[in-house]
Amino acid sequence: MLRKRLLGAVVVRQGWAVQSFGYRRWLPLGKPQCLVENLDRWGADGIVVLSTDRGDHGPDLELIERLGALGLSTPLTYGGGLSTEEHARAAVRAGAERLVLDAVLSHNPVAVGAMASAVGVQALVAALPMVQSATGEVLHLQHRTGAQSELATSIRKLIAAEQVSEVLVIDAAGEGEGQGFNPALLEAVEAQTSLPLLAFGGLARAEQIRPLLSRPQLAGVMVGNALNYCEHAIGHLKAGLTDQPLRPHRQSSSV
Amino acid sequence: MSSGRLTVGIVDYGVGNHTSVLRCVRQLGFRARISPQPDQLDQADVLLLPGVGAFPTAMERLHATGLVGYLQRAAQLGRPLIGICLGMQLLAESSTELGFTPGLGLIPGAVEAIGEPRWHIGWNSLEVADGQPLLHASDGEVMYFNHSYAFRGPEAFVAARSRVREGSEPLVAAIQRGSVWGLQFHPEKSQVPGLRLLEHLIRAEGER
Repeated sequence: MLRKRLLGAVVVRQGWAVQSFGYRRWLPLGKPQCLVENLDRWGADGIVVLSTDRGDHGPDLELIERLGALGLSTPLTYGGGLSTEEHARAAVRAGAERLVLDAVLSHNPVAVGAMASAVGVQALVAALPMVQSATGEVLHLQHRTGAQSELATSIRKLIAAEQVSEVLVIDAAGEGEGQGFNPALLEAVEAQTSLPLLAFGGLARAEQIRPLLSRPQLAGVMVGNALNYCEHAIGHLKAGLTDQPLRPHRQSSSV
Repeated sequence: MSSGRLTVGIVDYGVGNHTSVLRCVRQLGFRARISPQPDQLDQADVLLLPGVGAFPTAMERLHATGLVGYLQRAAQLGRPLIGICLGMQLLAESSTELGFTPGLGLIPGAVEAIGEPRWHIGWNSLEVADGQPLLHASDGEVMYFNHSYAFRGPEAFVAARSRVREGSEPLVAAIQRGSVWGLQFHPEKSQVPGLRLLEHLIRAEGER
């Protein structure tokens, strides 16, 4: 039976791993490769590296190559600056197994189809940063402009056409705060698609993760900041979730 | 062929990233080289065919690099060959991904869309078929999968399966014909269980 995943997130700005707080404030943590090596060693179900300041500069291929050269035995997903078919090919060539798409979903949806043909739909994840307004409405947040709006028709169409294989729902307001993930955001996206979902933002403790994992459509959760506070953080989190359909914890040491 | 330590030849046909496979094979204690050149690959005890992306592009690249005939001859000669993920699918007779494309035809069967659900992404346990002593130790182990097309073919060539849900139709997770093996999962990304399986397979086939 397919297990749900506990993924480790590493947020990168200007080449440095950072603790991110709502994508508004950042505290430096160190070299991304050190955090990624830890997550690999600790037995994360996957490692997601998000370069959040790439804009129109394309993916950080040097970073992906550095991470690829570590010889990780854990699947590596990369997001940041991916906007063309060639970006997708280059990121995969550099060592990413899967790609997180964000701005391109609304700015150039045609490119997403070309990316799917180039690297396979199973490699593509759509990132949707969402917020809930004071009136309870769930809105899509455009990181670059700060604009909040209903999910654009182009994105709805991409998702309906299954040009991506999973949707990463980001609790943009709660990200980095450790206060839990707002389930209203998942409900809103679940109403739009039957694609498997991943949840990221505000998750720090097992009791915050457990109710999300019980949702049939949720394929996994991503945890960022909370993994940086102790050694073997993945094992500690999984120890509190043994009643959930996660892969049993196993450290990824040498054979 | 080498004496002593086994050498693994990673077939480079310009699709995807082979560095992680190279690092993994070396970490397991084998010699390894990545090459598109038949004379280089001839030095290997075991050939490894990785792959990510779409089937037609991969076959196009294998034709463009002249490796289709090389791999078919290697299989006919009984040289050990292990395909990983898309590399496994290329061993089949054909695929319908993005239209019909003939494959290497090394193992009878075809690659078709998974169906419902459309994806098999994440960690799943292996159900090793009877009569597969090389995979026996990995029965029940959890491996990393990432695919939306799957092999369908005669039972005789199915070495392991996985199920997305309990009670659901199984998906083919590994195939074998003689010394030609296909692994739909990524052993190099499946941490200890995957590395153990890959080491065992390379050693057993390379020392045969």
